[in-house]
Amino acid sequence: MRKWLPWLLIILLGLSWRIYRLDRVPVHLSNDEISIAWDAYSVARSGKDEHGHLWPISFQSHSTYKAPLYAYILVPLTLIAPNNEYIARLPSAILGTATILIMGLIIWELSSSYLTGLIGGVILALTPWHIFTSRMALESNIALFFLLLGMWMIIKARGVRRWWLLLGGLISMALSMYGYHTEWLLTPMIMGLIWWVYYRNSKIYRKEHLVLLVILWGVSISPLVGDAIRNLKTGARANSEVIWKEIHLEATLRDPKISGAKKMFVLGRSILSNYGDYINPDYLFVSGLRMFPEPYITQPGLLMLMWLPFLVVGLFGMKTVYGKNSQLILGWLLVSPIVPALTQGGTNLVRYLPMVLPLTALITGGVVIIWRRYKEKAGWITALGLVVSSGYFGINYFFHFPIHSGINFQYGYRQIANYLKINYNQYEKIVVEVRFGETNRFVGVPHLYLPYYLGLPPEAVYDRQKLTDGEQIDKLVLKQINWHLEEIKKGVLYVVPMGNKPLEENGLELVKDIQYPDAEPGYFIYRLK
Amino acid sequence: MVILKAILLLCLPLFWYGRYDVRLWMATTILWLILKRWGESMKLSGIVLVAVVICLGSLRVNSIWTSKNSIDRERLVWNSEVFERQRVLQTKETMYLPYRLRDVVWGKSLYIYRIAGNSLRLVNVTELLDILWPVGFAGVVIGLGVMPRRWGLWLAVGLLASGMNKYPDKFYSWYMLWPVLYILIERGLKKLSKTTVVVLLILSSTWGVLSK
Repeated sequence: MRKWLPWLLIILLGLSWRIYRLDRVPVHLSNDEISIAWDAYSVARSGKDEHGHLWPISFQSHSTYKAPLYAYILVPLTLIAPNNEYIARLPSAILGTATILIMGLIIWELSSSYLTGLIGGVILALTPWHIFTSRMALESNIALFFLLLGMWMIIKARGVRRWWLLLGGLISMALSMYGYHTEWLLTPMIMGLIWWVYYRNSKIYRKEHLVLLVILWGVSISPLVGDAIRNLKTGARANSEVIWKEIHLEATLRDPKISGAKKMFVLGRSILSNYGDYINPDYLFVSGLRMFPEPYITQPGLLMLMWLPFLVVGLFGMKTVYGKNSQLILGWLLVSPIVPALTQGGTNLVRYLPMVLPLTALITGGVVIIWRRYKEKAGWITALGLVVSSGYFGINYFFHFPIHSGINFQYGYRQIANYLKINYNQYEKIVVEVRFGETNRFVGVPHLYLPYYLGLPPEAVYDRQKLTDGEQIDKLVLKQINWHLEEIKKGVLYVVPMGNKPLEENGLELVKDIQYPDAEPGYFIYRLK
Repeated sequence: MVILKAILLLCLPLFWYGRYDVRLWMATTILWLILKRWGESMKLSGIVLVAVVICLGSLRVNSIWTSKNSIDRERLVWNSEVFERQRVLQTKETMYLPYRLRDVVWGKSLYIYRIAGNSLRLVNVTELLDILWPVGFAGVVIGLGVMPRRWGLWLAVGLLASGMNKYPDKFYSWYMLWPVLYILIERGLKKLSKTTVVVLLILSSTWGVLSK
């Protein structure tokens, strides 16, 4: 019991950072979150997703073909709980907290030190990057948990003959691939790495048995492979986000006037440059989280700045803490940025999330080395630094981030739905403008937000009616409104963003206005006078 | 090997950057000779003295310390109107904290964070490849592993001094540190076989030609 009490405290610490005000911060469900939440709700009630596909292996979503695991994990929850942010984000927060425990156990296993494992747990529990992703309904966070769980089981099984651990590890690895696209490539690479470090010369397991297990793993991911092949011609993320589809690079690669060597160089340099951007210490420690619009003076990094010296010490002193296992950590560190580096669109903390694990292992190593050398003095300074850094992150995250991120998170649709819920039966039709923002430059997804918060039946969405200028879901007409052409009728409610207010001659009266968290006008709801 | 080293020194883009300023070029070359001869056995006072030279040199290269022996405040990171406006805005937004604490939390000390950010941005693989090419980069990475720990102070001081510039330039910022980098490259490449060094040199020259 004594041994497990510190773990319990660490889990409580991690959980409190991950579930406090989970429904309010981030301020609204994002574009991707609402898509997952709706698909889970829709599948739970009808077996079909937003587009009417029955029990899909990948969710078409906004033609991005999302990985399915998060939505399916959410299905049972949506059957027993109401539609809200808390429920949509809960699996991520819970499995994010579980990741802390598994990370601690892996570090314990690799360093053979109970205390080092605990330190690793504390570091991950307080890592801004992991807190940020654990508080959103993100597929990558779920995939990270299964990847780590699989790694822990397979590593644990290396010294003693335990088939159930190996089998469990491989199942977990397969699940990670159903969790997020990054793991499609990363998981096999990590598996190869573990095999190379621990199983290549194993005398505990017979090679034929290991091969059989890998074949079983291959069978378990075959539906995913089949689905990916079927989606090759679609706009699925796995097809459209690869770096060679980047507009300038694609033009260079297609240009017949440019030599093959130059093309190879340009492609290689782009990948290398991407890889470099991902391991850039500025990105990791000072600006990577991008919670605020630039310029923002304390834009947080993915990791706390105070961990930088510990990371450097941990990197160079890896062997003293992890011994022969440092091979695995080094490989893990080098392999993790490869997949995101092969994608376009600049650095992306979600695709890159698996990197948080080897970095945590190295920082932990650094803390242990410094601790061994300077004992209590270092302990007190580290603790003070941790309190100050966590304090800054907490202030930024819980107070300033919601104020500045309204538009990014399509804030306003929940508030609109709250108003519509009360007045839904009073109107024959509710016309909603799909664009939003000051100059109407963004197009939102009210076709998911409003049915989700209003609790409309799934068939209302997948059987939605196409109109000449938009689409209709139950009473909701979603379109781009042109006030010069709009035929104003009684019994119709109009929901518009600040950038598309009605004209005087439309004769409408304002019944409700919704402000962004920074008190800027957001949406207006009108009806005929 | 001497010829290889000479080729290396002459080829790497970083070492060409001082050619516009003879005094700077001389200063860094003297520094290089000192480090080569006494760098390993230098006492703390020597380490600090070199750090001061690197700091002043970096301020000079970044034109923060001007040729008229004055400080160009316009170039300093805490003279950025945009960030200052943002800092004041954040202070005002922090109504949940008592007034005095607000000034501490969002005080001018936050510029240390900006300086750290600017400095860390210079340690970017792509930028390092641009100034050192693959051969120099590989040498530095391996060299860092065998570098005396105290030398870390020089790298930190040089980068932090450059980080005080609002918009630091990669070539100028690393220029004062080339004597340290060169010794690291030398030490790093010693750990590699001759064939690997030659391959890296060929790769680097291809890199140089194709990047134009």
